[in-house]
Amino acid sequence: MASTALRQQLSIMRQSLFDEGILDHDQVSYLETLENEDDPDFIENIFTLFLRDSTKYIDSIEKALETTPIDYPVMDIMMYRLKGSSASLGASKINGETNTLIKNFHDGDMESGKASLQKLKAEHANFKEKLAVYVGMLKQAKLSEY
Amino acid sequence: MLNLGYCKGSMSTASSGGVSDQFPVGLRVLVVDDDPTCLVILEKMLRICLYEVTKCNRAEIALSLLRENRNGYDIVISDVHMPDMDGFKLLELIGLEMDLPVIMMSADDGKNVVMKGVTHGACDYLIKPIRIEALKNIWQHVVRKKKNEWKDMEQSGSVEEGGDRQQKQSEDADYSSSANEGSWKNSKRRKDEEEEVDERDDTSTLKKPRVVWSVELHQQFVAAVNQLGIDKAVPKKILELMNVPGLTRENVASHLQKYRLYLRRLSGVSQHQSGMGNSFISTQEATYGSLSSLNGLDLQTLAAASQIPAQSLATLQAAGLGRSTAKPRMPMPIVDQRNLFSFENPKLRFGEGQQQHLNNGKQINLLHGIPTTMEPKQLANMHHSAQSLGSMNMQLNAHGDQSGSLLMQMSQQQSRGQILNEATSSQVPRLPSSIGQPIVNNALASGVLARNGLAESGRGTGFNPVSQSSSTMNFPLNTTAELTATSFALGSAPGVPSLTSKGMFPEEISSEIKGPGGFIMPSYDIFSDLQHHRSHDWELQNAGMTFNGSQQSNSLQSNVDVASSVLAHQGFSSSQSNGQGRNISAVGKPMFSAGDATDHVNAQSLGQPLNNFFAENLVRVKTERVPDASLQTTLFNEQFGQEDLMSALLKQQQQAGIGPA
Repeated sequence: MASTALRQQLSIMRQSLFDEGILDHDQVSYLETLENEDDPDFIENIFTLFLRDSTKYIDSIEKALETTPIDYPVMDIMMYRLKGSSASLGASKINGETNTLIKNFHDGDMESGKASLQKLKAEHANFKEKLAVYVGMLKQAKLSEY
Repeated sequence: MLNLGYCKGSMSTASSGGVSDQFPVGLRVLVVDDDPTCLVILEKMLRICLYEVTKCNRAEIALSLLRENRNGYDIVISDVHMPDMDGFKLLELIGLEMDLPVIMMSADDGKNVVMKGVTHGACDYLIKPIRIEALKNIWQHVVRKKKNEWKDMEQSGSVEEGGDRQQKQSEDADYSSSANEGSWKNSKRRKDEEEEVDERDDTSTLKKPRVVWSVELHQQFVAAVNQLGIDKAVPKKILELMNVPGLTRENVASHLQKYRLYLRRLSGVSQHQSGMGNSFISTQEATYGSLSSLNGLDLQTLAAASQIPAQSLATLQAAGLGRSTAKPRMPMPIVDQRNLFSFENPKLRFGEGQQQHLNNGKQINLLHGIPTTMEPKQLANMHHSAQSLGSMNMQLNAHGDQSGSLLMQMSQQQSRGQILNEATSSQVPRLPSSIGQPIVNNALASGVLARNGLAESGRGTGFNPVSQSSSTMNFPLNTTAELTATSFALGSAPGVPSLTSKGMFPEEISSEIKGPGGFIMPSYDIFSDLQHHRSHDWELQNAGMTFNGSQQSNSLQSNVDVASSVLAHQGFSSSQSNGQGRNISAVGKPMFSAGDATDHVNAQSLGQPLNNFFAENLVRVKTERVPDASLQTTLFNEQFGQEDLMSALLKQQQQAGIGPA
């Protein structure tokens, strides 16, 4: 059945996301337990939200860095927001890169900070790509399950 | 983007019947977080806990929601890093205006920020990612808060409450301990019902009606109480005197209870965390009482003379107090204070108490300092302004007749107050209540102040005979934002005074803190003996200071910063009699260095008005912290450039080798 094949595909993709460290298995499984029939799109929703917002946060961080003088307060807020939402979602790599970013900037190490920002962006781009596919598959699987 | 949480409606109602071994169903939670992902996840988890969830992504919206429906929520969960308003600021506002328990959350788990949460009065701090387990038990904060309020009411021994209260209390106790959804719901319902019964004579409310006790209202209240005499003040008469439409006897009764507790605390029966502030106040009052004669010192004059050397200050103080010019050192009181102090420093203080403490202390300290340096006119001004601020502190002081307590208070609160107390206590008998009272009134301009006062007295347990008020009382000065700011401003100002007490005595600090230290000086002398205590105070102060300092964008800021740094410095330098000092110092420090981008205090915009306000109140301030703050502020603003103060303080800090004691 299409739905079975789809579910299988979904499961494979999910596992690979875990294996690659893009998503944290424990946190995501935990979130999945929160989903219930009242809110079947919960996981989809939060991933979609995160994809959208994380992009905004990273853009803001970049912009704050580029202003003169550097807008540290805003940067701080954005970095912590990204840290919080990525942690809540289980986006491990992004969370890790964000932590490094925070540390570098708090240490005053601008060079490393900027370098880690680039790394963060790369991870984020990768994340977006894969998660977009995963969310798409989730939606599809739901539809096919009427 | 506000989603009115549609709790599973049936849940809340059904809870009363069923017995869930989990948590109280229907707890009304307001969750504020700017991040949509987190907000959705949190909402989900809270719903699973069977709470009634309202989510909101803007602090301003949250505030207006709360204001529109003060009794519509039981607990608030808020993120720390929000763009439109700092989470801590929101926390403070909620605490002041609505007195709801607030839980802070953030991905930031740095010790400093967590400490900030504590000192700002958060009842908990959650680190993201948040799991449902963390949310399941948040109801305990609601129950605990109510229980504490109750206890305060009970302790006050108000006649009105009598049997009813006890009854309710026991019932409430049952409910709180059972964590039974049914019982919780029932008790909640009962509270709601009680609230509606305004006219009843026996108020004893499980859930106190949330009347906003603004500063003005509180002042009216205190004035009425003073007029009647604290012992004879009964709610009915107070209500009549106050003549405030819409205010019920019940409101007054519960407020009176808190007030009595507060006074009791000041008098040295410190039990709760609030002790600190209160005790301090009472002590100060005594001290100030004698100093009141020095009223008349103009703030301006003082400001101008901010450079008064410590010695002259001390001399003035002594003179003002009618004592010899010997440094105001009260060995006896100090000892007393120390004793009191040592076991009085509940960690609780750090939280809300701290804030309050700082505020109070600051004010009081200023007062102390004022007499020495200020001319009578200034003192008078301070006194005056102090009065307007909030009668709470003053009132408390009035009652504190024990020199010992005074001293204790002093040490606890902020060096300032202490110094004066010491000076006065040795020679001058406690100031008559009448004297103290007016000052107190002023001091407690804002609810925050009141709270601080309470907190402080808690610390100074046994300091003053003044009735104790628990910090939980939060003497309901629901100050407006302005007031809050004011108190905060003061808080920062106290920083300076606190320095004095800490033992950063003129010798060391004078050069740096000259300006604001004008009044500090004297305190230093006195405080040097009380260093131990001071450090304790410092800690608190520092914490408070940092908060305030960061908030103020105006000149106050400079004061605060300076104060903070000084405080931090002091905290470290003074003997760490209290472990707390360490903590605070640490806190203060970070705040300082971080340059506090965030606004803890809502005072920012108020900086200016506060200064003016304080300036007027300088005279009054003697006993109150507030005046001090204003003085300092003024001094700082006028006399010292921020940089000067800052560098001075920083220098001191460095010298002191800031670091947790």
